[in-house]
Amino acid sequence: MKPDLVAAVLVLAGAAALLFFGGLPSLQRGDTEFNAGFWPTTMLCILILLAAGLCVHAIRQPRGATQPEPRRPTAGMLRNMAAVVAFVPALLVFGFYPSALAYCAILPRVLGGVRWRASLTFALVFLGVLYLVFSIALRMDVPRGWLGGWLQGQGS
Amino acid sequence: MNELLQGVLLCLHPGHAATLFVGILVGTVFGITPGLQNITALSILLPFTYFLPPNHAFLLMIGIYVAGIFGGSITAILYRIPGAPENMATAIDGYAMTQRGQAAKALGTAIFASAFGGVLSILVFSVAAGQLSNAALWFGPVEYFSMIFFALAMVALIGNSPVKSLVSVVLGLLASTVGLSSITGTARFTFGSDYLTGGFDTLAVMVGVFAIAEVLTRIHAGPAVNAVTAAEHRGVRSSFPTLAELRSIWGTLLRSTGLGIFVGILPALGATAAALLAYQMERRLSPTGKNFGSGEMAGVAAPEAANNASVGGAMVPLLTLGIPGSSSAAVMLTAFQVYGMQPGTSLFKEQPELVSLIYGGLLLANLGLIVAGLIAVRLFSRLATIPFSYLAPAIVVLCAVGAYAARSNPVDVLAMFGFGVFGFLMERAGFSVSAFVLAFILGDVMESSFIRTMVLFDWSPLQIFTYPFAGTLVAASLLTLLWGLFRSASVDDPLARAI
Repeated sequence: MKPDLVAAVLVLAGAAALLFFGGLPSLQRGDTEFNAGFWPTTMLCILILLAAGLCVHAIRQPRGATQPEPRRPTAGMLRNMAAVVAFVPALLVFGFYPSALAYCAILPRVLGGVRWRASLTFALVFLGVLYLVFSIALRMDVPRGWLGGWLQGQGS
Repeated sequence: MNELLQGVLLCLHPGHAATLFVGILVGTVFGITPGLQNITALSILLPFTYFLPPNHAFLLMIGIYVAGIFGGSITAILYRIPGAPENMATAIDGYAMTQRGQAAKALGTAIFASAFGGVLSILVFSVAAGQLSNAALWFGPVEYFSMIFFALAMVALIGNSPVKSLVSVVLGLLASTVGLSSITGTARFTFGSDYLTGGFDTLAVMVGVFAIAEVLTRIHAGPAVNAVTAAEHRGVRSSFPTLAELRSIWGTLLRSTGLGIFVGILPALGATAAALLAYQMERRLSPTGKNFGSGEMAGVAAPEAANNASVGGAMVPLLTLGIPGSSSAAVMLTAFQVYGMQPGTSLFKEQPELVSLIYGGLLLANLGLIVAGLIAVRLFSRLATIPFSYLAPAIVVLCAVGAYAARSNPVDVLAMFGFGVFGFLMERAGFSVSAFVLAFILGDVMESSFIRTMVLFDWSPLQIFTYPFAGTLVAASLLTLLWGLFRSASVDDPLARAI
């Protein structure tokens, strides 16, 4: 399927869904000028028109005319991307420092070309510097995660 | 001008000079780190100002403010990862120059243009602060709306598909409506979520669609590729433009600085809008404008001169009227309040030495950029040869801290990754993330200006053409948009292709 058409359909469907099910204040005749729904409703209508135009344009264009066919993602590519995003659930559960330490040790290995010793050294040094800068020098708040919050609750 | 000279002499006292230098280095480091920018550093520093004498507190803030805007250009040029929104446009031609082995030239141009724009804006500021603030008072919601409409219309013309760029702009405007309406306080697109009621954090959005999306894009591109190989690096350094090169970008520097000062004066627009508007302006006015995107010095000089010039512009309404011209200036306003001072005519009368110190600090901070830039470039440019396998987790972890730091909300980190995936998919589909981000940043101001304008006109939009300045901008924007929507895709635009 043409990628432009896919993108246009997704935008069109998303905009229509938000317009009808987004819970915006409805616009009626005689409403005051300050109706908070006016601006986003206008934007959604414009978006629907533009997306419809993109759909028509994409249907009429021959394949590959406006954009080269995208490369099919390989298993390795998807694995690497998933590894990058995996930091989020780890952070939310274990907190910043434990998850960042594990992340900085594991991700270089996943992305390739790095031995375990090198990645562990990198993780320890990098996190050490971050700890000194953020927690000691700047006293910045970092996410504790669900586990950190639970342990703190147990302690108190 | 007397105040400026007095201020420079005050700043040259060893204690003051040391404080300013520390601020410049801190600002540069924060600017370089994706996800951490000068507003982050200023916000973190603010509580500590309670313990500092006011002179030192303001000099530290000035150093961070000025250098933070410049610092982000280093990663923008070396990695195509802008350290802050105001370095978005710098990444286009800067990174292209790096890919051609001209990283030194790009970095040197950024340093020189930043210092030039900053110094000239302070000189203008010190001479014309009063008149400039009067001009700012003349700007009302009609003029604000027309300026932002013009800016977004120009951004929407980028790319081979103006329709896609327009979609990106509208998506950005929509994203800015999530949360409570700034006019009525009504919740929009919150779906009962407390997080969405607060809206998306600008930092999380920006870091996500640029830094995280860039990491994902590099993975998608295949085996890790460094911007500069170790063999090519051989100690990347900055090299300032030659006299001949300076002559070729002289017009760009002057025009961009003028635009930066003007935009900086207007509250809410700030360095990002200044940089993007300057880039778009020079694409049309510079003799090399048609080659922007392929690595033109003017493409680096324009946004860097404008964003640093906007600092001087932002200080005009802050010091003369107590109205911050940017979010960083807003943090400085809070600092004034901490010390029980009120910016305005009373500040000039009651604290003339502090005002002089601020003038002098701004001037020396911009000159100090040259030194800080040379140090930072030599130290940090080696990052360009670090394997992507190490860079990726470092960038992601730092960005997570940056996204969390703004509101201490872990959901901001989730939002950042969400926008990262969104930005990656947008780029793959040929949409412009820079148009999206600019529209997101300006969306709230645009909506409120639009509503106020319509109330003023009793909902008769054609009345805008009775305002010469606003009417001209809106007419030019509409005509250009219509032309762009119907034109054939014959011009390859750098903003959509490169970001």
